[in-house]
Amino acid sequence: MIKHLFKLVWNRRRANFLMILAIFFSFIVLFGTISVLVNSWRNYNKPMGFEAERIWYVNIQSFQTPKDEARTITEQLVRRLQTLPEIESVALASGNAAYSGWSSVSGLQYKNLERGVNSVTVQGGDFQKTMDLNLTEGRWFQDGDAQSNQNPVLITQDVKEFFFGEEPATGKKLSTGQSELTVIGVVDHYRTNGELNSDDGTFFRATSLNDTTQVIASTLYLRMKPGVTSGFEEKLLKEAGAVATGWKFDVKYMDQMRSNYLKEYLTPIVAFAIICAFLILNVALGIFGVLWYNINKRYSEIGLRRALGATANQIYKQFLGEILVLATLGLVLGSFFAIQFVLLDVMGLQPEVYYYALGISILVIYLLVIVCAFQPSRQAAAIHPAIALHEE
Amino acid sequence: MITLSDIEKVYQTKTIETVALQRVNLTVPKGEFVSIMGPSGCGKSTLLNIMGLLDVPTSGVVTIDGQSITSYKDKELAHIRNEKIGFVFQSYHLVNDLSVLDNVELPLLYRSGVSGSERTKLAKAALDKVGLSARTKHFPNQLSGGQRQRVAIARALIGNPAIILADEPTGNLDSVMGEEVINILLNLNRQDGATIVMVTHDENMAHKTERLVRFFDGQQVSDSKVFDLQTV
Repeated sequence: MIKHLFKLVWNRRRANFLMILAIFFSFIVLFGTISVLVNSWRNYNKPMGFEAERIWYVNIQSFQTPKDEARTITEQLVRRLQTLPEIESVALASGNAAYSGWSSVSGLQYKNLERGVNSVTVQGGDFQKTMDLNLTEGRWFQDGDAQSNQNPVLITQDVKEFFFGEEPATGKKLSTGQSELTVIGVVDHYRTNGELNSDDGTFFRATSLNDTTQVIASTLYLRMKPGVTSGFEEKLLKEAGAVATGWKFDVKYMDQMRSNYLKEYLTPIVAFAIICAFLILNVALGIFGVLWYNINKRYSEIGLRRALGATANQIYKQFLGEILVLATLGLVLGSFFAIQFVLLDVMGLQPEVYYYALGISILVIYLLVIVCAFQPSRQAAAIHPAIALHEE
Repeated sequence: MITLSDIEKVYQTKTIETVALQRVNLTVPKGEFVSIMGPSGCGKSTLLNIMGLLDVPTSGVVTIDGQSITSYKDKELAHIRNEKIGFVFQSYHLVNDLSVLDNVELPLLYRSGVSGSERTKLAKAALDKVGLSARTKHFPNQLSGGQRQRVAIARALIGNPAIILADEPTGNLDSVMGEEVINILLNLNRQDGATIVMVTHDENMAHKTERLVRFFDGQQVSDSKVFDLQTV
């Protein structure tokens, strides 16, 4: 019977061509959208390594203040903020935090392995405590690490696994190409690209505010005590301004940064999903139309088949089968192009994301086809053979 | 053998009740070639539909080979149609998107246990019987009316049914082609012993068969051997 269905669809290929084309285009758009959704979902389910709640992200602008003076003021500023009762913990570090839109990537090497990794520079205060980072191995930075010629660094777990596999990372040497770094600890997670983006891992290095060869970090990370509201911002700016006269402080709440990021990221996805939904609706209406038309045009054929021994159920299965064959032809064509996405890595995603998207897209199209074909096929099955045979 | 006992068929709408058949009693023994005649609307096609299990009577009993099919469900009726009945229609009812060979194979698609190669073999044999073995790959729209009807006859034959029901098989054909078709049916009856019930408007065609049953306004008005008629 399957061969018969393929034969029928093939012999009606001219009439079916547009339908196959519609299924093909819908599949491609669906595949692209689902690839992005699957990738985002997988990223979303990976831990960030910190909670955005209660973290305030303060960008410092010191304008024309001479560097030596700026170093002293920054140090005083960190100390002053640590004394405020509303603040649980303070850290001074590079601004490339999640949701900030900044990134800083350095190439790390170990033997013949190489990988670009996000680089976070910690300069003052207690970054581990502020971001509540969890160590799985080794230790966090201590006094003196920033001046050490061993260049101590901490790496995240995924970086550790990439370079060292199951072996302990502590004590191992990594290279940036210009300098050698010594791993002193491993942080389980710390993602700087936001939860919907992929992340290549992070390494932390410590620099000293007193080291004139280093750039002064321009971002304060403040962990607020529970219950502290945005009303504290005014006091914070007043306290900071008292230490750093003429400097500008841009205060952002990390949970707010997070929701802005999610909104920004999801807007194009939602737009694509809407386009996709319209295309699918178009295919659904097309399938409905084609089947109604086929049933009306093939009324006498239905009667004939019933006369020749087909049961109502077999007629139902035949019409459903024909539309599934049509869908299969569209999907074979679509899958051919979708596989090129994987081979050429068009969207820069993990191969398994494409495979999931391919599977889900095929399933969605088949489900759509079955749902749309259900009623017309039932209608065909219900046609009375004696009446149908009198139709010309 | 088909037996119709006290068959009545009434079509009912909200406002009108139309009696298509009234108290029809008819037995067609195995191997007989029966013609059914009557004016348009007298119930001939309704009778053929009931005999072919395509329609159910309002009352009465249809018996095929001694089995009453009154209580049969759709699946069982379809099975009997497939195994025991072959249909030939006035307008051929060929599937235009299938080749001649595929059209002839159709009844065996609904019969379990027949392989694809066996279907093809039987279809070729049936087409050979109606003299169309050279046209297997043609499509219906590439054939003449007579050829199309011969394809339809081959399709009716392929499953080796006990009964062939022909609804005005020569109605759309000119006299030469009609003659060809009736001769094929006569051969099937005489040589292969096929039971044939044929509805026709053509007295000449009807007189080639063994028995003629006439209908008028849903009632059976005469039933006689053709030989008797010819000699009267």
